[in-house]
Amino acid sequence: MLADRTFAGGDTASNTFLPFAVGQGYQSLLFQFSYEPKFLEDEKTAMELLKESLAKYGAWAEDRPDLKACLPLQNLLTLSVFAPDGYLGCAHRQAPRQKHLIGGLSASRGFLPHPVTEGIWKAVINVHCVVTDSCNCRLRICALREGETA
Amino acid sequence: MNWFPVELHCHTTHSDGTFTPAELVRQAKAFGLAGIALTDHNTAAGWEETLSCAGEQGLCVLPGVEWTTYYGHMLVLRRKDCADWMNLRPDNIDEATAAILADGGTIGAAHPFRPGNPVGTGCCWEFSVRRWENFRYYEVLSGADPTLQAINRKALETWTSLLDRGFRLTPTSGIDWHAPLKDGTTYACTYVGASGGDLTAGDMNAAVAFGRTSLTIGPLLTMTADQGDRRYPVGSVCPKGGYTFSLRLDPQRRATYWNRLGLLPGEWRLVTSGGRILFQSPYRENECEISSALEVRTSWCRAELWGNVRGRESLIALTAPIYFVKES
Repeated sequence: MLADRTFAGGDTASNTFLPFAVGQGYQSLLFQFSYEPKFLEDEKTAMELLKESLAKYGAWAEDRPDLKACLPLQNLLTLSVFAPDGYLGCAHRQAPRQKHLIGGLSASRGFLPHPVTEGIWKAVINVHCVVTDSCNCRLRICALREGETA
Repeated sequence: MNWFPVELHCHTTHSDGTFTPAELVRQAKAFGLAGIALTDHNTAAGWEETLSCAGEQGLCVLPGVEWTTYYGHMLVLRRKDCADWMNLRPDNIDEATAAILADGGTIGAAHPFRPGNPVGTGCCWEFSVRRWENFRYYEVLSGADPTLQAINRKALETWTSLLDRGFRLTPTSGIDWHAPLKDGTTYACTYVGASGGDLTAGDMNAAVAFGRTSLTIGPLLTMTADQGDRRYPVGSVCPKGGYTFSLRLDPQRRATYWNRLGLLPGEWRLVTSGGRILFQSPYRENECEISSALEVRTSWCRAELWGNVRGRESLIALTAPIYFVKES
């Protein structure tokens, strides 16, 4: 499965569910997840967002934080996975390009191992924060048989 | 009561920590801790590996998850299923916490006043909680140099107001441990009280759930209330009346981790409703205990040690409260 999605600031705090069907005879699932841009390069816009944050988060503002130390502001999207019988976990980390493998005996960090059972699985793109005008996300999922690589 | 130093907010490479589970266990042992709670973001994938490593090293691990939602971060101990993190909204938090509690989870609010988006994604507590009774703990000290940060002063004030409203929330600290600690920086340690000689995960959970904690960036502070031949530790619920409060300091516990950080104890305090000081006394060098007989008419009291941290007036330690009710 290949999915491309474009997110904007209004998509912050949302989940995009991507169900996909898996047949019989597979040993592992490979997820290639990426998004760009990662960083808000426009420092002027970033400083305006930070000044808004000072007004919103009063306790933080009391300590007169060094706003420049908060730069660059960044987008954060994470990938979660559900097997047909339940949640396997999430790769909650900053890297904007990730590759994950889930199989019966082992799984990439953040995910529980799970046999690649026949049925409807779900990948979820969790949009924690979009600070750029738009953020393009790509998710490619491959089901692999024993001995296969993507 | 025996007191064990623990860290209740830790991450590994199963989320965005820099430590593998084995490295986290080594770091915790090197920092003189008896136990940790594993709280990776939105996953329990690290439980088995961390428990295994910790067993080999003699560290107690209480498995949990940090529900890193879009509207605040919630710590949930002893419950593996965390899928609903992505569905939490300010208006459905009470239903979610009721379900977690019914399933045996122990729930805490993490760093409630840390800035949220875009500074710290989802970090600020924006939930409209009506059922604070579903929560067991509240992280009042978070991060590096926690007693010097306004976000933690605000957390302490808010926790105090929740105590005044009748919610018996246990205070905890959290390094929010992602990476190696910095030299020359203070970090709060949560001591949990247990009756056994060795700490178990069940002890850690019970201490957090039932108010047997003491937080400090330096020496261990404890408090008891004596009435006749009965001695009540923190977390107890006692009848209102006359008590002799004893505040004690242990300057030896984990001293190598904090005794070069410029902490100067200055004042003992017994604090009550509204954050009012019921009793205060200057701290005298090498003093380890003070006592005061008082008539308690308020609903809770806690002990605090104040002093100087790198030239600034600062909280150094505080205990969970003892609670007082009208005798029926």
